[in-house]
Amino acid sequence: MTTSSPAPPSDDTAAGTTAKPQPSGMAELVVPAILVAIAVFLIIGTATMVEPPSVQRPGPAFFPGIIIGLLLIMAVLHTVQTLRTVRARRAGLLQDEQEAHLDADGDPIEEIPPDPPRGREPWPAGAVTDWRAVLTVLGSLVAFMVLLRPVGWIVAAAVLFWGVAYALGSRRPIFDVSVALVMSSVIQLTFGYLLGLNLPAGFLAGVM
Amino acid sequence: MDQLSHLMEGFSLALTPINLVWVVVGCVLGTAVGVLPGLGSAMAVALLLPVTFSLDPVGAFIMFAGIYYGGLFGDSTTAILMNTPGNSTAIASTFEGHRMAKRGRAPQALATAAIGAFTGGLLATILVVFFAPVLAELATVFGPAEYFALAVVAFVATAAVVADSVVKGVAALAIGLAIALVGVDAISGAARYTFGIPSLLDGIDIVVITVGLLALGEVLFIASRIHKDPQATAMKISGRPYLSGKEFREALPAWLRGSAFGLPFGAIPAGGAEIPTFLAFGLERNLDRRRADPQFGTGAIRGLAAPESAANATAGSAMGSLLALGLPTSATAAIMLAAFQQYGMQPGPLLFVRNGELVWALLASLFIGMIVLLVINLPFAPLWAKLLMIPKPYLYAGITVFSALGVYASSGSIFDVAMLTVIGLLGFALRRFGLPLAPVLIAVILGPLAETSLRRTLAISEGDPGALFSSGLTITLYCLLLLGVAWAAYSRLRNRAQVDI
Repeated sequence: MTTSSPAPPSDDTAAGTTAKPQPSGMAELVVPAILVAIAVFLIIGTATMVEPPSVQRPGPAFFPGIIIGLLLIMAVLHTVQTLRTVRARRAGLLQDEQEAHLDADGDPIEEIPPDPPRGREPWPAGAVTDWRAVLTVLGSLVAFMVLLRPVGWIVAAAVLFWGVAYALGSRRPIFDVSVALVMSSVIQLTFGYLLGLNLPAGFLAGVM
Repeated sequence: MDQLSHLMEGFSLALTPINLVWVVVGCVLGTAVGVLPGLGSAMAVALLLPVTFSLDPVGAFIMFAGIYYGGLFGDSTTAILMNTPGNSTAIASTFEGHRMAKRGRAPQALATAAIGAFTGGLLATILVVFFAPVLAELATVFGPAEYFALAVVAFVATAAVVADSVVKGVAALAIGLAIALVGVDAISGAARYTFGIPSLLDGIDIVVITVGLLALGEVLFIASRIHKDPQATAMKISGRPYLSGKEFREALPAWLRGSAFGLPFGAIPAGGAEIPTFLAFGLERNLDRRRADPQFGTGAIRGLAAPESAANATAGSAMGSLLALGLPTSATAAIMLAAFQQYGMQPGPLLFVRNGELVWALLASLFIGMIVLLVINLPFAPLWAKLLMIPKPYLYAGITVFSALGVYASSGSIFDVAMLTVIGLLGFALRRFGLPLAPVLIAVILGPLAETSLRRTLAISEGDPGALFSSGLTITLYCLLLLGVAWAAYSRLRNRAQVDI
């Protein structure tokens, strides 16, 4: 069970049984880039690792070696796969839309659900990442980290809540901020006092 | 029967008022996250893990178990009413379930799903009670080579067999293994990949990893596409919320067959309930074709009953292999394993001996939880669907604040919050490019076990890799693994033409 289904409802226009091919699949190359970056991180770390003098064999660099190999092999395979898909798509060879409706014997499949379940389709056709929203969430997290110690949990968490709500399209500042403050205060009260979690009180330090 | 007397003791512990409260809280939370698409029981347990440290472990685990099962009860509600599975485990239930709803039989569909989930979970839990202690006894002879074999089976099964693409699955696995390497090496004491940062000496906290991948990653993913997703709308339902005798008799064989699919799949590390739900659905479809009046395509009750009971049977027996072998077979089980470790317990053969009281209370609470879930789901399913009216911005803002709360509260370190952000970005990238998350989690949690058992085996054999295959048990495990891989390759080739289902 992967509990996080890849995507909740997606584009209604792509609600055929197959998502339409994207204009380009080159963005997929981010995956091998991540794999290589992690491998490089491990290689540098292995090279600079200080092994204790009397170490039993195999030593601490043995298992990382296997993983570095695994990461690099998968990076290569994924690149090859991506490039092949992109090429095939450019050449117009991908005709899933017809083929997908036929079973192994070439007979039409009749059980195709009239409305395919959402969350099973890949990234919808032509969709681009909304970087502004992503960066707003990240910015709110940074603000939270900066604010937490000096001004305390209630304000920092409220800023975080409002920032994320704004990024996700809520545009009622006064109401949003009120919800945010109520939420962070309730957390401070319930978790800080009842469960004894250590949350910085900030400017309220003297009062509480 | 030894097990029965233990179970009775477990019931006496689980039936205290405070533990009953935890069961109900867990069941309600689990149903809620199950109903909401994108949220799952793994995320819920991960978010609650840090804030439950001050509870006593029995209460915490009873609540986690309620969440685990509750997620599987809740996920079919939105699948039936809005054609939007709350989790991947409900995809197979969506086909016939939503068709039933469209033909005005939504209350019956919801009842079929709830009773199916109950049947599957109940049968699986009964089996776990009787077989988990036996399994644990067998597992006491496991040495490092056997543990390494178990870990490899779990890795390959989740990464290669379950994932849509083998390359992506193994890549996700490797990322998880790499994350698990950070920190002081357990055998030699060498500091690895810490780059002089003292906070990293203990490794990246499991809370940071799970919350980052499951919760913050999901928030970033939703944020990146929030303006593109249409709102799902629930169907209005009315009528009797129970099954007639005829409907019950119609669904009963499918419930039992579905459970039979789910039971073995939970015990082996095949990554969760998706495969058994689809197998159970496929069997019912094939059986239906031979009937005089085929029902499939028009809202067949059996097409909903079988996958629902399969999903919960899988969850039940997954609990068994988690407790008896320490082997997590799904993302939620992996996080529960992490929870055991946080409380200083190691699931596996010795758990029944060392923490017997907790284990039996947990098993007893599974039965109680199942009944609670049936009660809160059978008549009230339409109410749960109203959860979708929570505005998304507030829901995800709340999740973000809760992530930050959990991570900061468990360590009191801003560095961990920064780490959470980095892992959250990684989780976002994995989702964006369709890499599965379960292999990452299982690798993070089983990675250290795999490494130490591999190195111990090789150290004892003085570098001879033959020691990894020297016992009958290890050979059996690797053979089973090969069989599984061959079966997966075969069915993938066969199904290539119908990947859309």
